[in-house]
Amino acid sequence: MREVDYWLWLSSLAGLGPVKARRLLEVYGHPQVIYHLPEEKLKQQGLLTPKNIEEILGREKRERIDKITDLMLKKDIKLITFLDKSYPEKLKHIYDPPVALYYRGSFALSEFSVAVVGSRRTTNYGSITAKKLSYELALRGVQIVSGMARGIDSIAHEGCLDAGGKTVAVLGCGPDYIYPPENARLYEGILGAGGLILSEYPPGTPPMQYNFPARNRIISGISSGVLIVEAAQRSGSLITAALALEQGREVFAVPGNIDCAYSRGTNSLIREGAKIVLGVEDILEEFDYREEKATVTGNGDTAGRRAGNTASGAGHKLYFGLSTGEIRVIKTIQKGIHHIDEIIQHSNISISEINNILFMLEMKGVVAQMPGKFFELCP
Amino acid sequence: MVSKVKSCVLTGIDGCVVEVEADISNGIPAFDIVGLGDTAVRESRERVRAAIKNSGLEFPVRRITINLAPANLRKVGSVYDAAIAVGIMAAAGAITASEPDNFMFLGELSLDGGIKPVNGILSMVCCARNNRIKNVFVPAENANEAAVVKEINVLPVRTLLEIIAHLNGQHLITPHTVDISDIFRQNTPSSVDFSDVRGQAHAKRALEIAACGAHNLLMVGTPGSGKTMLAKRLPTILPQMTFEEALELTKIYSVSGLLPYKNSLIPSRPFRNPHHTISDTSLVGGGRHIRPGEVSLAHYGVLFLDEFPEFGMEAVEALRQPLEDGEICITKANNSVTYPARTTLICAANPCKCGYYLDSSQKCSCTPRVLKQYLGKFSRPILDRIDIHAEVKPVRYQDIEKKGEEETSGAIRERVNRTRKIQLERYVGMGIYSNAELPPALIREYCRLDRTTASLLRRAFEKLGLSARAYDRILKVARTIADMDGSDSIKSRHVAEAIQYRSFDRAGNRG
Repeated sequence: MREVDYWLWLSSLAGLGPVKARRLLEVYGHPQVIYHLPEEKLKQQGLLTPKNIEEILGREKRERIDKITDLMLKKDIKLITFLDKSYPEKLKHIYDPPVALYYRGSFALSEFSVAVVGSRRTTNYGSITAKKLSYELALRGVQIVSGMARGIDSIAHEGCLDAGGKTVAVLGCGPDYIYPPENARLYEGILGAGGLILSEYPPGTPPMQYNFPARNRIISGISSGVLIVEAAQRSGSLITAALALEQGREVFAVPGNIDCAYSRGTNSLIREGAKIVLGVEDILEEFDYREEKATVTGNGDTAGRRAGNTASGAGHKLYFGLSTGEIRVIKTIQKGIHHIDEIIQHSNISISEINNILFMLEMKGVVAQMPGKFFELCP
Repeated sequence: MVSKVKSCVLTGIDGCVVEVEADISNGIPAFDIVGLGDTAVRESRERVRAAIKNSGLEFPVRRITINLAPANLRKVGSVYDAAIAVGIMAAAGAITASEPDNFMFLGELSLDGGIKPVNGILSMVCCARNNRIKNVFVPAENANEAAVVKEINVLPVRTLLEIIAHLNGQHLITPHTVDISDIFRQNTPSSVDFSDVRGQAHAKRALEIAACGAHNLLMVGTPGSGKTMLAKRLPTILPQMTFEEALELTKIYSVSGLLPYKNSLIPSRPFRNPHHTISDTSLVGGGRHIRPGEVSLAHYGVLFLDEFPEFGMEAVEALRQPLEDGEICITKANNSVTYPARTTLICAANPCKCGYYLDSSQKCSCTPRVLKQYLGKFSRPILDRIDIHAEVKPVRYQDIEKKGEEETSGAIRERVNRTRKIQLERYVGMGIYSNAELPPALIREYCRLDRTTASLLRRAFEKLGLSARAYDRILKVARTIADMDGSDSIKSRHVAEAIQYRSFDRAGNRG
């Protein structure tokens, strides 16, 4: 058996948590030793339950290893172990680091990365903000880490990809599973852009509900800080925030409307001391991150067309070739008025004209129409 | 001796003259009715016998045979009672009318010789007029309904004896008349009005466009956003009904037995709002005794399907053909009827199963799977028949309180009338009355775009990921918006606005 096979075996013991696996490693040094331990020794350990021991002694050891190896070859999945030099330094210092990480793509974790997470269900505000912030962070060379779940997670990855960044997706299933299935394109996009798909679960592990909270500790574990864009009360993103605090990571939260159910979680995080994020600077200054260190690319053409207030340049508006009506509508939207009926009321433009203007602005890429006839300025 | 009198059979909403032949001959006393009658017709023997006896007349104790010609048409109901009784009395020599061909007899007999109202009187009287029958005896309670038909003497009767007395010249009945213009004048203004709706400019505009071009409409919005309120007000901005339209609509209601007996004509457009548990037969018509469905009862009016995704698949699919053709043909084993069904369809739906998908103040409790399932229902082929999508947002309290004047239905209706007139003139002689009815070939002819507009539309398709089925819909709606604008050609601003009403064709936005 190759040395790596023992690691495969150890990481595939689903009943043995990362903490116990680490303890065993500390005692015996290498999974190979654990693999060959006789039953009496294991019992003497005192750490393991009879169920753990049964799993360790399990007869189908070899078949399991073969199966995983097979899948790894087929799907081009690689493994990094706790003892490897390239194992993320930050992750090593959390309470329960995984003994091994399976990954697809190139294992290049940047030194400075921010986890952008949030609820699966989002509002228009949440989607736009997640996209904007992750886009701008990525432009400044910050690596975006998230969980590729529906909603904010996926949008954060997309924002990073749009900026040409390499993003890291930490999955709650085997790295060969695309879950949720509608993210197939995103999954390929991440790999295509030189990003990374990461998981502590061996290939062939289907998405299980109980595995998802566990992966949150890796998301915050490999990141320098965690940004929560939108979260309802009692949501998974708040678990991530709590884990991040435990691991000593900085927690950032985007404020929202106090009446909005999807901002209650983030608003209460801010009340409890999370750093309020009004723009990317609020994140960057926390790390003394100097922009010139990063390569800022691809910003020129989009900035020119941008008519809205970007987080970085609030108040600066550039109107090129827009009619007075169009500018009036943009200004109305900037005031936080997004629904078509309210835009009509505030701008005093007739409905047929508004329909026309909004369509033209949409075609010019200045505003985007959201479900429910809400209009947002394009970031 | 044989006598022949006339009555009427209904097929759909049209009548067909039935000749009731009565033969009295010597032989063992008997009373038979032949001519493809149903149970109600067979049972009329007992009613006729008792009614004649209790009217103080003599029921002939001889061999009586009644034939309802044409014998191949199925006869249903009790409307032939009066004709059968009169036929027997005539055959027995108790009636001496000079021109029996000039009379039609309609009505159900009661055992005491009284005459009771029946359904479908209006269609039958129309049929009498079309067949040049001068006089029609109708049950007194149906008189107002029957008198709508001109050039015919409507003779309301309460008893069998009154008929016989009139025929024998003993006591003539004065024909009943109603003043039709009076009905339209007295048509009390609807209790609902568009000025009741505050704000909602987007949805109101969508309804106005729908009214102008007779387009079908889908409204999506959270519970309580006013979808039903808006839909109920659509009939108030549709053009005033013409007499011919009112007549056709009243026929449908008369045939279905839904016309109140004191009413003669339905002067306003119907608004039908069936519950989502409705069966497909109740929606489009049918059943053992074929009856018009909701889509026909909403003829020239509005059919409103609230909670649209909850409607049964079969019911909704059955709507497709009548919406396309403006009529529904129901074929049974031995019968086939056609009911008119020219209606504006308004569908309303919540944005998700719990209803709060678009409402940021409340958390939507739908799981992704439930959401997907629910949204899947939006892509039903029926949506190919819907031209306009409108999203409705609840009005905030401040807006309800606001004093500002909202436009009244009357003002909007005037604009609608103007736009409809343009369409009627454009499509004169083509059998088309509105932009919504344009077939693809005519869309190419009447919805031509100039080069810049065409390129704008093409770019919109690329940028917004619109689905192909949106193309014709957008052109038709743009045509209507151009007509509202009084513009002969479709300009890019018309197309731009039309695209705003196709939200559910956008990529990533359902459907």
